Amino acid sequence: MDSEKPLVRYGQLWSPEVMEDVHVKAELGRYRIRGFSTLKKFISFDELTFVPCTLSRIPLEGYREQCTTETVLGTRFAKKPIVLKTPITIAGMSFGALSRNAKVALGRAATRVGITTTTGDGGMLMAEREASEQLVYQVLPSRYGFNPHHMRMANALEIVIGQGAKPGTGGVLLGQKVSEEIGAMRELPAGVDQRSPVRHPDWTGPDDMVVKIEELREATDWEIPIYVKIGASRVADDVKLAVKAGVDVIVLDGTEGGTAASPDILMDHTGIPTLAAVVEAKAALQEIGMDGVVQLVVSGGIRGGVDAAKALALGADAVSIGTGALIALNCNRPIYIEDYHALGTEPYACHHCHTGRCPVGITTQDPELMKRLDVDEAADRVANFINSMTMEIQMLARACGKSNVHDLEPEDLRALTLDASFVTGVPVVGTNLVFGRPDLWPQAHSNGHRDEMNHHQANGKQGKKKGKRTHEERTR
Amino acid sequence: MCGIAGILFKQQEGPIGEILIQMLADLNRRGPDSTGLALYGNLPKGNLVVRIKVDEDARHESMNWEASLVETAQEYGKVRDSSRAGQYVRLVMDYDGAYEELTAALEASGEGVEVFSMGQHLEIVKQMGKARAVDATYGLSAIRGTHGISHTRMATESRVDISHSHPFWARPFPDIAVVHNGHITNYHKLRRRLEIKGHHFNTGNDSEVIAVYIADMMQQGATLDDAVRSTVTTLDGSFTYLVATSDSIGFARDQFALKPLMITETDEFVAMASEEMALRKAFPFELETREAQAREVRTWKLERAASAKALESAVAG
Amino acid sequence: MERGGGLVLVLLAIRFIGVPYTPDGFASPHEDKHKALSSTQLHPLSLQDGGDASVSTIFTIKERVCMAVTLDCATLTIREINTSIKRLALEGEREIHLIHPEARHNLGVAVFDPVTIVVEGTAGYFCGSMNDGATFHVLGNCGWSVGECMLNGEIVVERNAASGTGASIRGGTVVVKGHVGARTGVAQKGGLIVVGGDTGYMTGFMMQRGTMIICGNAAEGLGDSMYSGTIYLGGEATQLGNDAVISEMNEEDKRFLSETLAKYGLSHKRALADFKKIGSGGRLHNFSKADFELWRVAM
Repeated sequence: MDSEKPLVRYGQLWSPEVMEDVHVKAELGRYRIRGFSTLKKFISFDELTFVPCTLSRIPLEGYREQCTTETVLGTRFAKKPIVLKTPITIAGMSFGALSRNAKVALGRAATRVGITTTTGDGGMLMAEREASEQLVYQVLPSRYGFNPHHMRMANALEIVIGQGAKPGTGGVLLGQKVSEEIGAMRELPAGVDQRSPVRHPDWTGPDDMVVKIEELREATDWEIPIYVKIGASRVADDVKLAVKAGVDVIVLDGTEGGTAASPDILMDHTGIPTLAAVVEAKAALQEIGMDGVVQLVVSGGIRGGVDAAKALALGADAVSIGTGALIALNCNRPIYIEDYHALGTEPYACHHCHTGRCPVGITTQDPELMKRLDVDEAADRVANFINSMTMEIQMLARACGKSNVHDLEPEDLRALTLDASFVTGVPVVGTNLVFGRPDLWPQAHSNGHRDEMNHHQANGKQGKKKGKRTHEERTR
Repeated sequence: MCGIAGILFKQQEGPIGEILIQMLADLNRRGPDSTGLALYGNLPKGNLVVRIKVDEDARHESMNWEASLVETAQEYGKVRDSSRAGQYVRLVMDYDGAYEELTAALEASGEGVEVFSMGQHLEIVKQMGKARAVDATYGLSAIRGTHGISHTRMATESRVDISHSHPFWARPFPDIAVVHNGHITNYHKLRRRLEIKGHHFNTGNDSEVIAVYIADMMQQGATLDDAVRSTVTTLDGSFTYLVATSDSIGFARDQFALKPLMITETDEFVAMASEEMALRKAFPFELETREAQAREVRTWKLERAASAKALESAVAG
Repeated sequence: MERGGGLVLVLLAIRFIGVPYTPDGFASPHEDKHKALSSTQLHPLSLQDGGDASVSTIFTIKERVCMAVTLDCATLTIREINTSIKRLALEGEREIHLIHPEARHNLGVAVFDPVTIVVEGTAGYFCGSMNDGATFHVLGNCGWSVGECMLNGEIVVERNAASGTGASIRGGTVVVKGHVGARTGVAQKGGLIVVGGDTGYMTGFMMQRGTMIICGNAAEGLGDSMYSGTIYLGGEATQLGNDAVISEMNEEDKRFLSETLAKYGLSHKRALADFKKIGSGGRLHNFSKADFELWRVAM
C-alpha cells in the first residue's frame, strides 16, 4: 500500500450518481425513465415505535386470544361493500406492466387469504378475474381496454386520479413493453412509446367528478363501492373534495409508491411520504365528520406487518401493497443472476422494470422470461407473505392490548425523532412532548389526556387549543 | 370547484333573484359548501348601497350591529335606509367620496366586520349552505334587477366560510364582482405583485385575485373588456369566470377549456351557467345553447334604447 | 337550424297510449315563450304539462313492437329512468322515449340491449355512455361526454353537444349535427364520430384508432399526438396539433365521406372537395432526441 497516495474525495453535491445522471442525459436528450420506486430516503414508519402493554394496561395472549383482522371497505353508499379478511389489499398494477403469470399468481394469492387485487392501466385480464375472487376495476385517465361489461364484473371500482410515484403526471410505457398483445388490448400500434394522459377524458375537476361517480353508480346499479386513488400531494384538500364528490373509499399512495416506468425525477421529488399522508388524511376526514364513514387505504412503501400496523394506528383502515407483493413474487431475488448483470444491475438493486427484461419473469411480456415465474409457487409465496403480515399486525395489536387491529391508535406509538413527532403528532420517547401543531392531528380530537400533553408541549402558545384549523391556517 | 350562473336582462328589469336561485339550487350539486349572489338593480333613493357582513359570534349578539354601522356611516353621508338580515347589514346612503375610505371606516367598527360589496347597483349576498336555505334567510328570489352573477362553492384549497365564498367584489371599485369555477395556479405570484402595488386581499381564496387583478387593470385605465381579455394570458390554471359591472356582464374561459359554461341568448336576455340543466330549471323551454370556447371572452351591456346593440367581443387569442 | 318539419314526422311516427304529447317548447315558436317571460314574473316550473306517463303505465307485451314506450323524466329519478330502460329492454321493448329530459345527466348509461332510446329534448352529461348495442336519438342538445367509452351502437344528436363528445369510444357511431365543444373524440379507440358543425380545442387529442368527420372548423390542437386513426376536416383548423399531418384523399376516402354524410343528412354542410384528411405523422411514436422542438411539448 502506497502511503503517499492521496485520498480520493467524492463530493456530496456532485456525487458520482449525480454526475452519471448528467452523462446519461447528455446522450439521451430527455428525462430518465425507470421502474420500481424512489431510491431516496424519506421520513418513514421506522421513526416510530410501539409502546405495548406492560403494567398500566394488560396485553392479550398472543398464540391464544383473539385479534380480529376483518376489514370492511365501502360502507358509505354501496349495497355490497368489500369485506377483507385482513386489512391488506393488492394495489393496482397493469397487465402490461406485469406478466400474465404475475397477475394470475397475485389473484390466486388474494383469493386464498381473502383480500382484493386491482386491475391496472390496460383493463381487465380475464385470467385475473378468474383467479381473484374480489377484483377492483380501475377507471383510469387513459381508459386503455376499458370495457363496461368488465366494469359490471368487478367487485369495486377505483377512479384513478394518480399514483404516489408520479402525482399530477400521466403514464409512460416505452415501446419495448408494448407487445402485440398489449398493443391490441390498448388499441395502440405495437412498439410505440405509449404516453398516457394525466386527466380523464370525460371530466375535469371534483365538481364534474360528482356527475362521473353518479354515472358509474348508475352503470353498476349502485351496488359496488367506488374508490378514488390519489397520489399523496395536497392530501387534506383532496380528501375533502373526494368526500364531497361522493366516494366510498379513499386510496392514498405516498411518494414511496411503486411504478413500472416513470420519470425518476417524479419519484424522488413529487408527492409526500406515506407517513405524513396518512396523518393528514385522517385529520381531514375527522374535520369533516367522515371518520368511520369513508374508509382510508394507504399505500406507498408498506414493507410488511410493522408498517401496516403503524399505518393502522395512525388512522388507516387498510394498507395496499404493490412493490411488497412483487418482491414476495420473486422481484430482486438472487436467482438468474447473470441476467441481472446483463441489465447492468444486481439482485437487491434492480429497478429495471421499464426494460421489459425482468430476470424473474414479473414485469415482462417476453414468453421465455415469463416462464420463470411458476404461477402456483408464486401464489404460495405471496399468500405466505400476506399471512406473515397479518400475524405481525396481530402480534403488535395484542401486545398493545387490542382484540381488534382497528383499535390501534396513535397513542400506542411514540416518536423516535423530532421530525416524526412533528409530522405525526406522536410524542417523542422519554418525554410527554409533542412538537408542532397538535390541533392538526387526529388525536387532538380525543380526550383530556392529550389536553395535558398539549398544555406542556414545546410550542407553548397553542395551549389547549383543539381545533378545526384548516390547511389554509396551517400554512399562513 | 364550483357552479356559476349569470343573467342579464337587456332592456328592462327582471326577476334576477328568482332565476339565479333556481339555477343555483340545481348547481349546488357541484358546489355544496356555500351559495353567493351579486345582484344589480336600481336604487330608488340614495346613490350607494353597501352590504356588510358581521360575525355571528356569541360575544357579538348583544351588539346592535345595525345601529353601530349606521352611526359610522352617518359620518360620511346621509343614511337613507338600513336593515339587518342574517349575517348582513344593508345600508343605502348618499356618498360621493372615496370608497376605500368608507370601507375602512366601516370595517374598523369591530372584529369580523367585512364590507362585501359597495356600489350604486351591486349587492353581494353570500353564505354557507345551499341556495334554498340562503334564499329563505335573505329573501333573494323576490329581488328584481337588471343583471346578476352567482356561485355555488365546492372549496378546493381555502377555507370553507362566508368570507371565502364567492362572489368577490373588486374592492374598492364600485360595482365590480367576480365568480369563478376552477383553480388559479399562479395565485400566490399574482397576489404578491398586487399587494406590493398596494392592493388589499381579504381572504386566501385564489378566486379573489381575479377580482383584484381586474380592479387593478381598470385603475390603470383599461376597459372591462380589455381587462378580462388580458386575464386569459395572465392567469394560469383552470378558470371559467363571470364578471359583472354596473351595466355589463361577461365571461372568460381558460386556454384549456377545463371548466364548463353553457350560454343562451335571446333578444331579451342572456343567461349562462355551468350546466344546461341549471338553465332549464330557470327557463322551462328548449333553449338555443352553446358551450363557451377555449380562451373565449365575451361581454354584454345593458341596452338603454331599442337601437343599442349588445357589446360583442371576438374570441381572444 | 333544423327544427319543425323533420321533428313533426318523428312525432307522428310515435304512438302514445292515453297521454297527449306536448314537447317542452320544442315545436313551439320561440317568440311566445319569450313574451311570457318578459311580461310576467316567472312561476316555478310546472312539470306536469305534457303528460304523466309514468312507470306504471309501461307495457310489457312483446307484440306491440311498433309501439313506443314513454318515460316522463320529470316524474322520475335518474335511478328509476335507467332501471326502467334496462327492464323494458329486457322485456323486449324496442323503442323508449324519454320526455322532459331537462338536460339531466346520466340518461341511458350502460345500456347493453339493442333498444332505441329517443330523448325528446336536451340531455346532460354522459348520455348514452358505456353503450353496447343501443341506439340513441337526442332531439335537442347534450352536455359533456355523450357516448363516452361506447363499445357499439349509434348515437345521433340533432343539435349541439358540449365537450368530450365521444370520449374514448371503442366502437359504434356518435353523430352531432350541430357544433361540439373541446376535446371531441379525445383518446378515441375506434368507431366513428361525425360532427355537422364546428369543433373545439384539442379535438382528436391522443386519437388511437377510428375515424372522425368534422364538417365545420376546428379550434387549436386538432389531432394532437394522434397515434393512429383518421380525421376528415371540412372547414379550417386554427392550428393542427403536434404531429398531425394532412395527407391526400383517395377515392375510397371520398366515397366513405359521401356515404356517411348522406346517411346522416349532412351532405349539404360541406362540399366533398373541401375535405382534408388528417393523420399521425408518426414522429411521436418513438422518442427521438433529434426532434427536440416536437418532443419538448409532447413528453
